[in-house]
Amino acid sequence: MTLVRGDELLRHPVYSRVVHWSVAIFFLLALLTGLAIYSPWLYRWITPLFGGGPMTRLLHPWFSIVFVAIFALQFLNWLAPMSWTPDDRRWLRGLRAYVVNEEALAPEYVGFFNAGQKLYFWAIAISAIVFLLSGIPMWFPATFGRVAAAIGYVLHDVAAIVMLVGFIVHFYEGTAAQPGTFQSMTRGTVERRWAWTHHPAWYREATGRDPRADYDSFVRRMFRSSSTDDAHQRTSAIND
Amino acid sequence: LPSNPQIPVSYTVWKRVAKPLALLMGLLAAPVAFFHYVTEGPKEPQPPVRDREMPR
Repeated sequence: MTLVRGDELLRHPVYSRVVHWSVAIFFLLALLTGLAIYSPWLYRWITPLFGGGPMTRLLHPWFSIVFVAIFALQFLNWLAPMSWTPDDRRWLRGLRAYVVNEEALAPEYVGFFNAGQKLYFWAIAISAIVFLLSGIPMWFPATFGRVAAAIGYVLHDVAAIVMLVGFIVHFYEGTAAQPGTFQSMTRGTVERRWAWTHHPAWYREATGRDPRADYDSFVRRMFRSSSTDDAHQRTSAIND
Repeated sequence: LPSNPQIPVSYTVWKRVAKPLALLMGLLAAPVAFFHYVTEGPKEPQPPVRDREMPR
């Protein structure tokens, strides 16, 4: 169950959160065991966490299979909001402004997910397929042959690096870069301010209200209540 | 096995150069994110209402 307060909106229901964190846990387990096998230097540091080298090697494909299976559920859950639209191309054209925080408010057409989040989603989807198709010949080289396994190693490693970069950026964007975002995956809710700032089109869809008009009205209320420059009063304006 | 087995150069380059370099470049995303945070700061919900959300 998700508790939504007066100044909040439901962003991710329980099912989405459980699936997301299950994907995250098995992704990390697969990533760590994979990195241990990837490099002799990392092997020394990581394999003791999983009970030694042979156990790490044994666990990696199983963690990965579970990751791919749970990601399939996430794929189905988010397929509709992750669909690419012409607005996403517009968002990408303004990527530089997004990166340098040029605009305080996201463009009005940004819906439930922005194009950056969609790109990450599709990178995971493609990587999961590559992991599966390349990992099985690596797992059973006697069945699939040496050439298939060798090609598999290269594809597997390239997909892993893409996922590693994507994961670091995702972790940063979901925590320090955008305060309030992490809460959407823990409590399932976001402040209305967060919604009209980062996903105005979703705010309009979820509330039936104009995000810019609500933003302006909020600013006016805040000015009135902050005449004494009291932070507490400013905070209380949220609940007006 | 062949009578004089040899490891191909392509394999050595892949294992000794390309893989470590790719991993390093991948991990570079972490300091880049940190640098971004230091220089650009977080993207706070607007308008800022709490002291920690005020522009630096």
